[in-house]
Amino acid sequence: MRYNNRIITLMVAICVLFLSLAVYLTYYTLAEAPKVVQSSYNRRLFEAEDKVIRGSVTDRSGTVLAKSFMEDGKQVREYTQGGLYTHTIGYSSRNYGKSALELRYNKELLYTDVVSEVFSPDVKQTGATLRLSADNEMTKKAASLLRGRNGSVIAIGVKTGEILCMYSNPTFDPNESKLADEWANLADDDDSPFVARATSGLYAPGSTFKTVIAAAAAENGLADFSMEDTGVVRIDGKDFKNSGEHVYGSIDLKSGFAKSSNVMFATLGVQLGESVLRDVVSRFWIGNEIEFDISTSKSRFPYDTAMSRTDMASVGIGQGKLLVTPLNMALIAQSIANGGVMMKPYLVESATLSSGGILYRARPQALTTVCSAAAADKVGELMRECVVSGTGARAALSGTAVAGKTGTAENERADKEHAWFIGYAPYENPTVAVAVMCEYSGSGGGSVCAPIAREILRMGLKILSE
Amino acid sequence: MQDNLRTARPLLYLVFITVMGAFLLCLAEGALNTTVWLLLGSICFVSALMYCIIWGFELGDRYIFLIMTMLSLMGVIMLLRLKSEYGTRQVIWFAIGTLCFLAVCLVYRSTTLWNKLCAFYVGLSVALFVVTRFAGTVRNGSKNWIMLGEVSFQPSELIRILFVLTLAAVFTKPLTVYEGKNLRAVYNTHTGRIAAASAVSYLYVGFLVLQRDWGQAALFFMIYIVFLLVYGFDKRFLLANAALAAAGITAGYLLTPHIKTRIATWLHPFDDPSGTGYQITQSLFAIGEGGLAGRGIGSGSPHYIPEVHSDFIFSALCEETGVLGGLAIIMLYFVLVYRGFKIALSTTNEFNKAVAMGISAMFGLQTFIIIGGVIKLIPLTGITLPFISYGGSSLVTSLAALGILQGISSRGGDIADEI
Repeated sequence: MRYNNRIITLMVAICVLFLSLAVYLTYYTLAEAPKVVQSSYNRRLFEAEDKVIRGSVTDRSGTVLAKSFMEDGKQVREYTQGGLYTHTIGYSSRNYGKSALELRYNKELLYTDVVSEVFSPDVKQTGATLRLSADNEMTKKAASLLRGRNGSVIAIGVKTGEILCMYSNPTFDPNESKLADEWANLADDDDSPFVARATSGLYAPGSTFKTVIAAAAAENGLADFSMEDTGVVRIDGKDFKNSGEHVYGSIDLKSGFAKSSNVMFATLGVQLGESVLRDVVSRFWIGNEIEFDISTSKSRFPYDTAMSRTDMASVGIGQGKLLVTPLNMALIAQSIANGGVMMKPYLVESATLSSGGILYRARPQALTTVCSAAAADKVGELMRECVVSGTGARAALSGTAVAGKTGTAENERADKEHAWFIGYAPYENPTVAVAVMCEYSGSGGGSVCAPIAREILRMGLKILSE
Repeated sequence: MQDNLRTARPLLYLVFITVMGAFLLCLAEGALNTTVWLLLGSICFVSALMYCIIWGFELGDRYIFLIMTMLSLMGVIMLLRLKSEYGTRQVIWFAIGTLCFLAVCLVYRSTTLWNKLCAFYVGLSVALFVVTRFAGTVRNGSKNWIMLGEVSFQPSELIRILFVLTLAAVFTKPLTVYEGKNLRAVYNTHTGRIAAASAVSYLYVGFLVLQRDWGQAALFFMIYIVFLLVYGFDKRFLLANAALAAAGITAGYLLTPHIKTRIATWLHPFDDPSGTGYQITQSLFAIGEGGLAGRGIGSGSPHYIPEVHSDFIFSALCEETGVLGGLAIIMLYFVLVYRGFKIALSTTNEFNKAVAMGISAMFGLQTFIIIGGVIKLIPLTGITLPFISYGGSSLVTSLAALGILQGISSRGGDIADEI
């Protein structure tokens, strides 16, 4: 009998083991499984396709972008626009898996009415049709404007967060036959065509980030900030120079922003200080996950320990360790245009059953408030000036007032800066915001990206006014 | 009348599961399959017969066999659904195992020499290990099978029971004082016993590592630790074991790519879902798609999971009967192990107490290792799920072990009637 106490202890220990099995199994099923089963390696995702014809995907006006049909007893997925939507619609292939919307909306694309299934069991049912908020003509235009350059173009509805155009270059043809030929080359390609630049690419924002700094300045009583720009400012032994070593002389926030004075914004970064910078950066959603129809990377602000003064100055001009996604920058332009309210972006407008019933409809939703309406108005004013008299002049449209900011971001390759432009129009009553990014272009955002943004804005305004 | 109902209730549960299982299987096939009814019905019949025998001849605990039948029944339903051949053979093994259970129970209860056969257990175990080492067959990367003509069996399943008997015998044999410094005198000290048990345990674990049978090696080691904690509580040995185990795992991690891969796959299964992480990711997909209520018997796709009929049968059950089904199975094992410990606690004979404790712990740990592995709670090491996994040696030896437990309970005074 003398061992009974120890045996009871052992029994309790084994109880704990069993309990841990039960708890972990429940936790896994409720918390992790919904994400795990989305993996393209889960062959169960393809099972329904033996019974159901995969639904189509159309653009906002109903142009078919992807459709499925039967051929020799096998289902074939056709992407009518080639590689135009590879990074948004993605691909659905038995051999290579599923990606992007094809993966996220797999259930909807294969969803059929129970009623019609029961009453006509022998007829192949068709899954729900996805209608995107994107416009096919606009996406084609974006692709042609970007041709030859790696980068991305995003246009977004200011009031709604609907994506009007999202295109990343380079891309590849997602049709099954092309995939089979190209897959090995694609995986080895130095240009990484698998990376959806718009949502997953991470880049230094350069001067486009001055919008965020200006918002912080406006909120912290520095709206009337002015200084003498001597072309260079030395902070803790490190020189911050203007682009082209320009000397702007006596400038205020407006002219400093329009001319994109690094001297002024490096100084502002230091003056705002660490806690204000950290706060404003996280309010503009950097470091947070953007919930979207496609998986996104988080923009990064990786200053884990206390920031030095040079760190603050670097962040002031959008350099340093700061990295952002083009989608995040598009949302920053959108929220400035929308009085400081960042909208949750969406690409899928609705999912409609073949019987006509609505399975899903997107509702515009605010994501967060990035700054006060007054600060947003102030930044808008600065962005307008930038297009009127500053570096963003080439984004100007006749008849419509455009606001924007250029950026030329230094990176690990010397003389191969990333070119940026973010902006919106019309200035008085904004409806469309854009973010254009060309990686390693080696030239300024004002000369490369602003003209692209102008054409995209022009088309976006036309589409939204229809 | 009420008393009769109370008596029959556990059997009614069994009949209910049988009828439901058979019905669902027929529904999944879309045809009335009489073989299914016959097979499941015969399990039910055998179990009812055993229940009456245990009751009528007062063979002790009336519930462990029923709980085991419930588990086996779930296993057979799943095996019939996976491949009717597996189910049929499993039912035959179940019948043989039940005879084995009864025989072991009766023999164990009527003889008392079990604690004196220590040398025989060790001798037989080492002989089996040696034969496996030189004449064994490799399956799934582990050289742990012996072919006897058409029949193959896994000696380590039998050795495990002998191992429990050995440890129980070593630890509970009374210490006699001997003069002098010879081996016998050393063996008759507390430290001497611990040393002897450790030597045997490490020898066996060593053999199992040579066979590349990591699951069994882990189980043997854990049984040894359990005995050490209960009967050989000695800080020096526990520390030494902890150090040895840590050193062993570290060395294994650094030297054999195998263990390194296992741990990497456990931490990041989705890094290589079509290669090293294939088994575990397929298991996780199955459990995940099952959700709470499952996809229904016959409506899932358990065939994507490798080794689904043996090591991974729990994932298949989760896919088709849901996590609720999975939790029910975990609870059944828990109740079985709990009854086993209860038998150990109420037995007065020290040797039998140790054996009952060892067998209960063995079932508990074995269940934990494999279920924990397939749900990714712990690194995956292949081992069968007792009573459910397909396989003769596993089922028959597990039933034999349960027979020992039954035999002990039939001798060890009164076991309370309620669960």
